[in-house]
Amino acid sequence: MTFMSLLWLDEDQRKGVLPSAVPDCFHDLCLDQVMATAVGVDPDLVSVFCNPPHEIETVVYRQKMFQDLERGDIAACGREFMLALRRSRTLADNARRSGNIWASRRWNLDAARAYAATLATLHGTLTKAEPSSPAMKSLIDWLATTLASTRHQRLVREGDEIVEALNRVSYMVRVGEGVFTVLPSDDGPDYGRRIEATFARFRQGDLQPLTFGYEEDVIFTNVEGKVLDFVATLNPEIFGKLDQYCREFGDYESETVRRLDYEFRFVMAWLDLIARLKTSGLSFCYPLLSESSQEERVTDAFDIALALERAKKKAGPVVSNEFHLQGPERVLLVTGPNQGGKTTFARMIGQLHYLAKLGGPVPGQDAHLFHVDHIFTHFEREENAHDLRSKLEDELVRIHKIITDATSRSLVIMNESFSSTTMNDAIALCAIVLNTFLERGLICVCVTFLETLATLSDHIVPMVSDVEKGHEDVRTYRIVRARPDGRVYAMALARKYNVTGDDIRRRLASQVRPRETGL
Amino acid sequence: MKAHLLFPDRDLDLTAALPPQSAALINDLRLNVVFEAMARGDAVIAKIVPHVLLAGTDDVAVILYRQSVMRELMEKEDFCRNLYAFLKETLSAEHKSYLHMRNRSVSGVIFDAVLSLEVLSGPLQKLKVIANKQKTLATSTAVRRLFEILDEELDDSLFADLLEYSRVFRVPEMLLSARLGDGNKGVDYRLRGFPGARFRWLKKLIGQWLPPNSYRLDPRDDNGARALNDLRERALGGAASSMQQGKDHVLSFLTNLRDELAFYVGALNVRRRLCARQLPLCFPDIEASGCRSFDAQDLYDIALALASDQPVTGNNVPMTGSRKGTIITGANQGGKSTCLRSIGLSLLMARCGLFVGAGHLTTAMVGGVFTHFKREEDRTLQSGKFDEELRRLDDLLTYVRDDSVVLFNESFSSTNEMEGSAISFDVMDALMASGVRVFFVTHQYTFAHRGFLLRRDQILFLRAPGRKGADRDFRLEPGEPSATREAADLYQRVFGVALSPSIKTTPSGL
Repeated sequence: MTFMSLLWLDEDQRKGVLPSAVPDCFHDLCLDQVMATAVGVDPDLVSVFCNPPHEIETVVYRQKMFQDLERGDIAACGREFMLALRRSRTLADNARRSGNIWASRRWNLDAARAYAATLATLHGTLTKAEPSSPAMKSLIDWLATTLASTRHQRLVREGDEIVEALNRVSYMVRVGEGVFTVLPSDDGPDYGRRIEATFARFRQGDLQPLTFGYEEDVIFTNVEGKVLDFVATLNPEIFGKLDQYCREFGDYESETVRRLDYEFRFVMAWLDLIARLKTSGLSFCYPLLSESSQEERVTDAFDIALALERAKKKAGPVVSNEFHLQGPERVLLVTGPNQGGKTTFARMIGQLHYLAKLGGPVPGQDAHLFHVDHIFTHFEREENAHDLRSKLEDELVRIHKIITDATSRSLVIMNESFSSTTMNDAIALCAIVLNTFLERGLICVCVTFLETLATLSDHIVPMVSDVEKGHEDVRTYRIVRARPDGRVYAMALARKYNVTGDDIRRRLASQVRPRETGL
Repeated sequence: MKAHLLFPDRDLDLTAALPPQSAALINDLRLNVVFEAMARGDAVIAKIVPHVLLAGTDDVAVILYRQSVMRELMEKEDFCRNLYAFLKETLSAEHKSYLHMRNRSVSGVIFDAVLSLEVLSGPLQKLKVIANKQKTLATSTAVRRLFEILDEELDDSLFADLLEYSRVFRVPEMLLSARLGDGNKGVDYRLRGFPGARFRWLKKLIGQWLPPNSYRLDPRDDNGARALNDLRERALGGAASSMQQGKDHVLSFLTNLRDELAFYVGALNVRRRLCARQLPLCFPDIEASGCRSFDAQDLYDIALALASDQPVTGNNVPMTGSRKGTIITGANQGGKSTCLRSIGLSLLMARCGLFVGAGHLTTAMVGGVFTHFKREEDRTLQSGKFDEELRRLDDLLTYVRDDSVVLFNESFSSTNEMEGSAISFDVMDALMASGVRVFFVTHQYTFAHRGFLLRRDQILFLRAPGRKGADRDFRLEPGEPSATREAADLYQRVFGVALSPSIKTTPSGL
């Protein structure tokens, strides 16, 4: 059978997928949270999240497939396929649990038939939906070939015949005290009907028949098992066929179907996640990736981790941001007031580059991105020890590793690096690092309070977190291209906390009164 | 097998909601006094009577049907009371017998049902004897048919079956059938019978040999015993349901019979008290539809008679001919409201097939009775009182039909007399024009007078006389509404002219 995958172009690519550890950048970019939300109760999907393809052709193959599955009708095909396969596996699982050979064979038979029906349905619905992506088209071809095979056709036809025969079997049990006998059934009357007839004359209105709930356990009791064994003895021909069927078709599920199910689960998990965010008005798009140009342009993007968290808390939508790099620009230097959305902005850029490689829709109205080979993050780390030297040392060790590993095709995101040392030292260290990156030509986002770094090079784009005009204590969480001036928001914050000069004089003058501000 | 003492063709439906506006009727007509007198502490009657009385019926045939039952049971009061007591006792005995064993397992249900049916078997046989004797003595269709059916249906085969069921379920051997379901588990279990007798010889052979495809459990195999019992219970499920339903059908038949009889017993209770006071009772004559008359002689308020020992005054209300409305005016404490209530109550009782508190009553069929009484106690904060009155009118007009009767008691008096009168007149005039009969107690002279001037041919005018000396006579008299000083003052204030005879010649001024 030919190779069939929704995510990979050939067998070699797929085999490159290792159950590797979560990428280093996941924690800093909050992609671990995003992944956890997306995979939910399906931890198998982690390995797809953690192994994006390196080849841009594979990304494009996936993007087209994702676009198909964004169509409601095609998504429905996929969902029904996954559900139906799950049902068939539940049946197969029952076969293992029942504890009676004839029950187990019946479950196997039903599981095989359910499996066959699942494939036929997927083929039918998908063909009708007329997908346009190469992945979906080759899936239709693969299904057609499989369904047409002799073995598959026999599996269906013979299975149907056996089920029909089994449904016709009926039997009687004579139950005594501690003893029972199984007999072939006659067409005798139902004693319950006789009782009904007696009381029909009293009928005043319709009564709801009593029903007694039984826990239908798959596992057979010894009595049930014996009864079934005797029933099999009484019907040797049909049970013989059942036996033969299970020997022949016991192992029916193909490796490809298992993989398809897995891949559908991944795609649906991602589409479900973004669908939740779309309802709050956020945009998603398929980024245009380039392997040659490092110019980037993104509009209306956002930190997807924050967006998910706010959606969960039913808070308002996140603020969207845009950025671009043109010509020789390589470094985005982000400064501005604390809590102004700088880290969020940096995370957003890292997420965009990573998610773009996975092939699905990414946050944003529109995105042109460089197909980076690796994403490095240099964020502040919480530490057990309070020794500042060790903290700085740790930071330096980590930045050294990044400088060693990063290529000209990498993305580096630095967040408040070297903030544990003196300002002059920090400026010096940052300048060295940034210069190294600039020489290498890689793309870098640097969040810092060291505004002066903006003057290092023309290739550095200064950006600041914006505040509202006239209400400088109100942050807009927008990050805009601007020379930082560092003054406006300071005054605003002072007013907010009643610590301007006037405030302090007034407060000191009225000390006798109880404090009113609550500070 | 149906009781059918209230309807020729259906049971009393106790689940039906009370008609809209019932709460107002109960309150305004003091129906609780009547309900309590009918029930005399009997919970069943107390539950049934409000339903039957408030629901009434639009069907003259049903009214006549009930009147004939009522007449027969008035003749056989003791028999009726005894039968009712017998049914009550039977049902409460049955209730006691299985109250403690509300078990929802299959065998529990069967056990309950068998026990109940054993308890009920005796009373059913007694009922058979009663029916056999009474069916020839009955005078009304309903009673005769009931006893005929009882005599026929409570036959030998029924009692033979009941006996069989009380035995077979105690036999441990049974035959069941099943089919193969999911995973070849048995499904569709059915009980095929109890081959107990035929099986007995086999028992003796146990130990020596078993028929093919047999299995004997190890005596220590508790799980196996449970599983076998489970198999048994599944097969008995259908029979359990049938037994339970059978029992419930018997019980619900007896309950229906008791409930329907309860209504008549309640009526007998009230009748006994009123007869003791030598107050007149009569079955109303119901006139064909289309006519809008109400002609009562010596009409009194049964609720008042039941609530107090004061002498009761009967009124004549001859709303006949082209009249569709009555306006009652006159002095306070003059019996106006009492008369209005007696009209309402007599209509309700007539509508449900009962006798009424009057010497004689002829009335056209009544589709529904509605009250719009002044509410002293209503202090709705969200809207003014006049708003409230109009809203209440709006509510009840949702349900009023052309064959309804609406009783107004000092309505629209929460605004000034001119506005109130205009509303009152418009409301009454519009209702009458639609065929609705209107009885209106009012202090609004402007309204009453305008009605007299403009609608004299359609409206009966009754007047409560003022107190004349110590002799309080509440009997209303027919007569033109007369202005009180209050009305004259109001009129003067509103119109700026004195209320003078000249107004009678210029009705357009109103």
